Order: sequence, then C-alpha cells, then structure tokens
Amino acid sequence: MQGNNNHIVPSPEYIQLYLEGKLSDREMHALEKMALDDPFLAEALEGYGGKNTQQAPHLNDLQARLQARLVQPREQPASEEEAIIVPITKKRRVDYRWAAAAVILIILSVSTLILRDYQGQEKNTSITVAEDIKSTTAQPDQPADPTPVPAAPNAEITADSLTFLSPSKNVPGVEKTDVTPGSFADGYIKAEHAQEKKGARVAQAPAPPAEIAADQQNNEISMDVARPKMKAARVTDSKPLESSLNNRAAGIALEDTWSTNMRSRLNVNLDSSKRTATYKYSYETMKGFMRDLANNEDKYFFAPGNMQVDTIKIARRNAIVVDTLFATEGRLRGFEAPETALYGKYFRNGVLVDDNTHALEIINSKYRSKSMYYGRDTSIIMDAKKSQFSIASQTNKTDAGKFNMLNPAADKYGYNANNVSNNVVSNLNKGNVKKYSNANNALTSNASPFKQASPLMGFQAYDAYIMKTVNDPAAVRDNVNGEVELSFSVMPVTGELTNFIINKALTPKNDLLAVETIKRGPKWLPSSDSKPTVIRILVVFVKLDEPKNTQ
Amino acid sequence: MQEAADELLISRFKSTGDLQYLAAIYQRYMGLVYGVCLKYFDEETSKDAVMQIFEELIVKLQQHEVQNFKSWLHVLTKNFCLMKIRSSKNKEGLVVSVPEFPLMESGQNNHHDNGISMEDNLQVMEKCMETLPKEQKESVDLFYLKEKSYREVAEITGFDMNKVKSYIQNGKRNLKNCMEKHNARQ
Repeated sequence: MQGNNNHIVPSPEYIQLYLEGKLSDREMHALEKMALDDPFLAEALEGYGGKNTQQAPHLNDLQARLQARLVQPREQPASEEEAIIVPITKKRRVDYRWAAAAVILIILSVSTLILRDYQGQEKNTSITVAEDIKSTTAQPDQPADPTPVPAAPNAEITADSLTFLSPSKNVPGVEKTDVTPGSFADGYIKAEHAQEKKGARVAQAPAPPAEIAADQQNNEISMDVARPKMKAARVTDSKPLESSLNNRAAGIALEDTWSTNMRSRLNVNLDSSKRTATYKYSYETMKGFMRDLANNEDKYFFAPGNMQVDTIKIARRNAIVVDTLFATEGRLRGFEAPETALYGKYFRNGVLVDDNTHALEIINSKYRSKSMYYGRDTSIIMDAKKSQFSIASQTNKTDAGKFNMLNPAADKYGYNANNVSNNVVSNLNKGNVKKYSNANNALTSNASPFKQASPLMGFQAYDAYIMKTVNDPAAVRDNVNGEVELSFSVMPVTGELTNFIINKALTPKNDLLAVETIKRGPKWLPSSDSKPTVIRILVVFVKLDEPKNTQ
Repeated sequence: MQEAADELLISRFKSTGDLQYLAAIYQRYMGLVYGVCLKYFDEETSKDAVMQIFEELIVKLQQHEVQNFKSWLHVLTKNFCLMKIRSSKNKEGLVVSVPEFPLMESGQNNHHDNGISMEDNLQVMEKCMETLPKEQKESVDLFYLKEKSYREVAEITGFDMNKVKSYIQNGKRNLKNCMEKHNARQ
C-alpha cells in the first residue's frame, strides 16, 4: 500500500482467528513471521492467547471510550490511577506523615467549629434558612444560568439555526403513492441511510412493492421487540467479523491471492431456520464476484448463498487486515425475480428502480430464492430495507447479474450485528446525488475517487460514541424510546458542522441532546470535492431502566 | 487520514494539540496495546490501562521526540503495565524487583547498516546454521527457508507446537548472536 508498513497491524479479530487455528497455513506463517520480527505483535499475541474469551466486545467498548475521551475532559479513573502510579515508593511514606498532620488539623478545626457552632446555634440556623429562601426565589429571575443544557432547549436550538419541521411530516418531498423522479431523489436519500445502517427505522422507502411493504411491517414490529435487547447489547454485543464470518458470512472480500483454502469459510446462515450451510464455490466463480470498488487496491467479493440469506457480511481485505464493510445479520431476505426484469435496473432499499431512479413495480417476489448466485440467474434481490447495501445488476446483458454496492462511500462502514442499531448516518454529498442515481456511474464505482465526508475516526467508532453518549444514564434527557432524525452539513475544508435541522423531533430535551452530542462530538473530515456535505442521522434513544444500574 | 503516516499524525498532534490526531494513530495500535495488557491483567483492567496509556501518550509525546512510534508505544505499554503491577504489589507491602525498560526513542532495528554485505551475511548464516542444535536448525530451516507455519513445522518434525515455537525463537536468537560474533571478528 505504501512504503511505511509500520501501521499494518493485524486486527484483533484476525489474531483471534489465528489463535483458533482458522487461518490457512500460509496465513499463519505470515503472521508468525511478522510476530517474530515485531515484539509488540508477539507480546499482544501472547496476551490474547492467554484469554479464552472473545475480545471483540471489549475492543468495541474501547473504541467508544476513546471517542468519548476525545470530546470530554480526561476520564476520571485515569487520573486516579495516575495518582497511584507516579509517586509509588517515595511519596507513600511522605503521604502518611501528611495524612497524619492533616488528620490532626481536621480534628482541631472540626472541634473548634463544633464548639463555636454549639455556642451560636440558633443564630446560625436562621441564617441558612434565609439563604435557602433567597436562592429558590431568585432562580426564575436569573436568565444567565451557568448550566444552559436543561434550561431552555428551544432557545438554544433556534439560536443555532435549527429548524423544526413537523414531526408528522417527517420526510419532506416524498409521497407514498406517486413516485416522481424528483421525489424519489429525496426518498433515495432516505433510503440511502436505511441501507447504511441497520436497525434503523426509516420512514419512507419509496413505493415499496406489496410484499416488501408487508415485510417492512413485520420488521417494524420486530424492531420494537428487539429494542430492549439493543439496549442491553449496546456496543459490546457486536461480533467480530472474522469469527462470525466463520459461521455466518455469505460474503467476503479477498485479494487476488485468494486461495481455495478459504472456501470452507464461506458459510451462509439461512433465514429463519437458522440452519447453517456451507457453500463451496470454485475459485473461478469466486473471481466472478470480485469487483473493484472505490479503491483499486481493494478487491471486493460477494458471494450470496443459495436460498434465503439472512446474513451477509462483506469484508475488505488489505494485507492481513480485514475489516467489515457491511454486515446485515438477520436483516436480509432473498427474493426471486425473473432474470430479465433485472437488466438495466438495480435495487435500492428493497425497491427496484431503473436508471432514472423511477421505482419499478416488478418484483414478484417469492420468499424463497432457488438460487442466488452470480451468473445467469440474476435473482439477487435483497430486502435491503434494513440492510446497508443494495444489489445491482448492470445495464448490458453480459454484465447482468454482476452486482455491486452502490455507495462506495460506505466503505468506511464497519458495522457488526447488534451494535449498529442506534444511529443512521447517511452520507450523501449534494453534488453527487445525481451520480449515485445513475446506474452506470454507481456501478463502476472505481471511477469516482471521490471521498465522502466522514468522521475522522470512522463511522463505527462515531456511531458507538453517539450511541453511548445519548443513552448515558447521566445524560440530560427524557427517558423515552424514540428517534430524533436530523441533518447537518459538514463544511468543506474546515469540517465544521452547521445547519442543524431536525426532521423528526422527539422531545425538546432529547432533540437538544442529539444536536449537542453531534456538535460537540468527534471531528468530521470534509469531502474531497470542497462542497458541503449533508449528513442525515437518526439518533435513537433507548429508555433506560429507572434504577440507574446501567453501566 | 486513516492512511496518513504515524509521523505526520504525530507532528499534527504536536503542532495543534488536537487529540483527534493522536487518537487516529492510537487506534491503529490499540489492539496491540490491549493485547499486551491482557498479558498482565484481566479484560476490565486492561481496558482501563489502554485508556490510561492514551493519557500518558498525550503528555509524553509532547516531551519526547519519537522516531518510531510503534516500538516506542510498545515499550511505553510494557512499562506502564509493569509499573501498574509494581504499584499494586507495593500496596500489599511486597517489593518485587521489576526490570526497568528504558524508553526507547528510536527504532530497535539498527542492524543491517553496519556495512556488512548480504553475501557475507549469507555465508556466515550458513556456517552459523550448522552450529545450531539439531531441533533448532530443523525448525528454523522449515520456518524461514521453507516458509512453513508453526503448525506445519510441528507436523513435519513431530515436535510439540510450543517446542517448535521456542526452537524457532531460540534458533533465531542463536543465529543472530553467532552472526554478530562472526561479524565482530571480521
């Protein structure tokens, strides 16, 4: 990739796979050799090797903590610990003396106080009462409260050019029945963020076909059911890509050095029955799935399994670092469509659209797909409403059935199963909406070296941060379930966040918290084309248990 | 940004004081830092340690001129863990001598630039290989020259995996020592 390989560090997930003996011999050798030359890695390997548990939840937690640290003053435990560490030997003895002196002083002063207090008891109490009265009555008249957060949310929001739209009309410009290209564009923006993160409920997918719509309802229900679980799960419930890949992934990205050894790792988790089956693809078939995306250095490979697939993971592999691009555990359903219906069209968000992004009502979807694979049968239709990607078929017939992710910007998305349910980040640059709505451009995505605006630390960490912050028991908020949907602009060059607009409000406190969390949150990198980028985000609030026992 | 070199991010951090730059580098190695901490502590303590090391970095990076961030961070991590253990031992009234690791400020790999040619090295290496005990020689040969994994080496030689590991490590060290001796003599 670049001359300085210094920071090519195998991911903890990769290490875990190694420890579980799930890598090929060649891969193992590479890692072992690396460790022999890299004492840091060697020692980390030892550390991981000594523990039997899955480390992924802990690593996710660390990510979130690091993010939180970036926007807050130093963590409390840190300073405590440091106090222990720095002065160990010398100061300990000194500490005792000081402590003794301090104790004597305290005893002296307390006893003096008690004596005095005792003497002037009556006088004293009357004074404090008077002060109390004074302070309570004075409060409403004081406009300059030093803690502004809970005080006057509305005032602060409007001051920052926040606009409230009617909560009932939460997606402007999208009609449910009549889909015009213009309105679809808006709908698509909506759809886009539905794709990118799952677990997020997105109000309008434009003109969904009947069965998908029906399914959508099912999902709405399951969302509500799932919510308490989400809360319990939080960030820590996510699974590492590689380890879950082993049992559940349908897709994987590989470099050219794909080896047939890997085929046994390509497993597909079947919908509902949760049966697991392994699909073996030949190397050639595999290659057929490989696509170059945004970055020429990265090879993408996608291999859907037979039948209904409810879990797909797509990973990118660079050197020996593997990161997840998309994960759709439990969120997908395969459909069958006539082959010809797919030429020149592609799916977004569970809806088939043509090149002009007109929604098409064609999918006579069945709940079973007899085969979903690359080649003649192009029946890859994902009910991707809750998933993070769309499947596309290309315009010309020879390419039909090759599919790709439509949003190369999503390449920084590394979402795993349950930890992503809270926020939806949509990352659409206004200047590029057109591009994405054009099938060819969208598909030959290596033609766009354009980099979307993104959080400096990546979406996963960003998401973890937002989730943790708004659902922190200490946060000033109303304790309710619900979402705040808002958008803001990432300004070019500076990456400044402005133009906060609340599209869907929850409660004033929670709206404010959502905005403030983002505003004071981690830095964003502007897009590469010096245009402001509009980001839409859904911040999900989870009702916390009343006795504050969470975390 | 994600791809920017460590040095660049460090200098950005130093000039701006913006923690985001530091965090961007730290994130790269956080898995390793955590792994090293796991060697000494349980998961929860390790996580705390990872965050505390980040705090130390903020201060120390401003004070030190770091050439090779990765190895520097490794030493820092190790020191931190050992200090932490020592402090907790001290609390119990135990004094354990813990070896001090000096903070290295440049990379640990200084070999290769002592003016000895590759050809010489190869010859010396061959000689030195002969001096290794049989097991080490066999393991090193399979691992380094035939590029077999530990598992394969174990299968081929019939040695236990852990043995293989130590044969290779020791073999490598002996080889290095032997070669250095040779080169010093020349």
